[in-house]
Amino acid sequence: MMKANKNLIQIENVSKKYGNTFALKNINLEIFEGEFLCLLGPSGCGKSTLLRILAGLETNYDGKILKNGKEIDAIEPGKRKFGMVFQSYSLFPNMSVEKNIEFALKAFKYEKQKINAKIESVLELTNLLEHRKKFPNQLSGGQQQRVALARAIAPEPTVLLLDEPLSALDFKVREELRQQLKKIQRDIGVTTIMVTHDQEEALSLADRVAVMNHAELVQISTPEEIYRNPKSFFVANFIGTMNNIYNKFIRPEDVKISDKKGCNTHSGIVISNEFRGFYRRIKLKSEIENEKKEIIVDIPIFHHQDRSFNEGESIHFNLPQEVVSEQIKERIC
Amino acid sequence: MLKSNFSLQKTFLSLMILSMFLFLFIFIAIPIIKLLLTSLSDPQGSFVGFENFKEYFRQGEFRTSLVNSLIVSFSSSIISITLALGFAFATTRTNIKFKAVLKSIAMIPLFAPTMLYGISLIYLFGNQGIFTKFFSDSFSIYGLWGIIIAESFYIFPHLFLILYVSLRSYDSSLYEAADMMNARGMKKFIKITLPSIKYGLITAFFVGFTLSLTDFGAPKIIGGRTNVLATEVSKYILGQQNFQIGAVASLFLLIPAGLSFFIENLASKRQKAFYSHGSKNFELRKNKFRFVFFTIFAVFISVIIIGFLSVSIFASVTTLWPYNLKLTLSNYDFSRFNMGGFNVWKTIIVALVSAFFGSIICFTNAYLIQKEKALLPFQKASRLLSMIPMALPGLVLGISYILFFNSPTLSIPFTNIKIPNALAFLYGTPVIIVIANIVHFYSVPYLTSTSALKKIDSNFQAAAQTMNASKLTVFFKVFIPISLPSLLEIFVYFFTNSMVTISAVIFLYTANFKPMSVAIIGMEESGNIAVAAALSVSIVFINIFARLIYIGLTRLLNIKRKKWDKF
Repeated sequence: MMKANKNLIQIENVSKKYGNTFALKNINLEIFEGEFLCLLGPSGCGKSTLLRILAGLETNYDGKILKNGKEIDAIEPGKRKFGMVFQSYSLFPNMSVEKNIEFALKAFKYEKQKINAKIESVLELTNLLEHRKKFPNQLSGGQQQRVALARAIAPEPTVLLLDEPLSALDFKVREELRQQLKKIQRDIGVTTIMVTHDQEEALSLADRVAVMNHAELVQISTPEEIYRNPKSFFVANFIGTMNNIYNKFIRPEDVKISDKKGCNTHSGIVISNEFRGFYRRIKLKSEIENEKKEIIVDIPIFHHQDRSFNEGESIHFNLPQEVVSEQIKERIC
Repeated sequence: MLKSNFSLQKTFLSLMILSMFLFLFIFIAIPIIKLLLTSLSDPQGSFVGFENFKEYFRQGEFRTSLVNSLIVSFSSSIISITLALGFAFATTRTNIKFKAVLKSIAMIPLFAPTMLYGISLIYLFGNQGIFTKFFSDSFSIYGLWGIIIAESFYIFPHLFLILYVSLRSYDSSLYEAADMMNARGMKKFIKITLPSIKYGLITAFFVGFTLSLTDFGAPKIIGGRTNVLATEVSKYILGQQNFQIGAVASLFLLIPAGLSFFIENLASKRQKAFYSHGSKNFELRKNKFRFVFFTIFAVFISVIIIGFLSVSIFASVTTLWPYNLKLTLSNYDFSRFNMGGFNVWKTIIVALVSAFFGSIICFTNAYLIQKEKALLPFQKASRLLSMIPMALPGLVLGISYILFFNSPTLSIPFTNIKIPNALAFLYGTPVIIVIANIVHFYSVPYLTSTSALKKIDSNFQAAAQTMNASKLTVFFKVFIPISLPSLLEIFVYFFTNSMVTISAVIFLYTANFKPMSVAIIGMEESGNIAVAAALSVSIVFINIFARLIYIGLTRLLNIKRKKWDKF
């Protein structure tokens, strides 16, 4: 990630209410210049509202938004010069690809001589040169998405706002576009804030991830940190699957199946066994220190190929060292 | 801390919303309030309670015209629904040929003023009618029979359209399941088809009932001495200048119209629920009996519609029907007659102006209501007001307008305050006819605009805002171009209706300007029936001409839009 960059956007105590329910509750967040920040959370958590507030599209809220230390709350969306890509792309259907981009450039009063060169360069960047004369409905979903991106970055915005830009696309296209998006963002170095509900997308794209739930910001960190050290069970469970053992979060892939009984070994009975491609997910019924537990174990597909893990079968598993209980520590390990 | 993005743009938007609301409030709500107040006041304007109602009920004519109106509306609705159902069935559920042509023929009555059916009936069954001698002496077309037949023609295309839409989409799996159970054709029709179009039938009945109840043109021409509510209302206002009783009588047109509007609304909601999931069409199977039967039926109806129109066309180009059948165009030389302020071109111009401003107002208002959020209470009020004209018969609108624009001062109800009527200067000008046309036909184009706008991404304005583009730019560069086909449709709808309408304008025409439709009534009254026929036929052809231009323009537009239009 880009380190030691200066703080570009500051969100201070932002709250928004719809009637009696909070859409946003006391949000405080710094965004650094050049970083790719993902706002991640389930639907209805307020992430899109926060993005719209940043864009200037929502006006009634408490708190402040600062850019380079100056309040921008009263500044109109267009004057903020933030580029935005909507989930539905919002491409004007009656304008060709280049006309859509030209529309944005003209609205930002770009000099006439520079418009063509700019269109050319963003089309090249987004790999759309051959489609420049086409209309949105002649393009695939992925191509439309790229046009929306091209239109948003053409006027060289200070901040790029992306509202679930990939969620309307097929899985394959989504993965492909994710890489392109990351590359483009790196190339032009624009500060980017993306809203998504897809944890995989957030982890793979972002420099930092801000996890939101119930109108509140619950954790903000690098993807690795969020994955390895979730601060709450919500974050833990939202980002992948978690076992909660002795109030510690154990990822299913950190539970190891073992053949022989050791001092940190437990036993359990298989209650389900799902084949998931590159790994196998097994649910176990177990008893750890007199407490009944359901343990989820992910086993890479090339491990234990000789075993079948049938339902009802009793197996042994090891927990990681850090969750060894005091009682076990007393035993000789 | 409350943030407000006050800017020129937002002020302008609020002003637009406010002025649209004021337009609707002044030209829809206030005249109706004025009408209601008049029905409760004496000629001096003092409140008299229900005295006018009592007076109106005391007159024996009221009961006769009410009963006549009910008979006419009921019979013509039933007759027309039966025929329209057959015709709609033929064009949706059978394999008959030339469906497009048949559909266009079914639409022809929309292009004609209702007077035309009366005139054709006179030529066929009137005193000198060609078929009159086949009937007994006691039979007379002047009266209920004539009105019922004329109204059946008038409402046919409206009912056909409703039933056509209901029959067009259906859940094929129901029929397939019935086939598996070996159900017969008639059984399938009664058990599946009829229930699935139940709401369409209800809507059709009420639309037909209201249209024939409130029509003035046909009973005026063919009614003879038989009065219906519509002709009686006009008698009070135009004949006796008794505005109080006229207002009371017109309420008897407003109430059923309003009632049927609500039932219709309810029905259309239910109809939507009926088709909530997976209605897809399946291929129609060959059925020889069905093919032959419905071909004969559809051709029969088409021949009658065209024949009916042809009678007026033919009679209008003969020297003296039915005695001297030498062809002549003298009846089309309208300058031969003194028709006080009548002028074909002026009529067309007024219709064009009504269509032009009507389309702009309808579309802009639909846009403001649908896509903007600036003054929500006013937007909601405008939405409500926009639906009222649907329930407002032309006669009622016309009377409300005379009452409103004719009074130099307006008193505010329950107070003694009187304010000068700033709009009184419009009385006696063609402007009032333009406004009446716009308001009278407002609701359908409003709904057309709304449904066109609904298909447009609601994030366009937000997207454009982030691009520093003004709302006006997006309105003109995106919303208008996308909605152009709907705008054309609205325009031609306003135009055609402004050409054929008689009910509101009969009260509002002036010495300087008399529309063609009003001139028809005048010519018929003075015995120049051939000229009345010529005028009616001219309206039909002007409308067909306008329609052809519309079709041509739509085709051109579609070629240009083919690349990008997915709607």
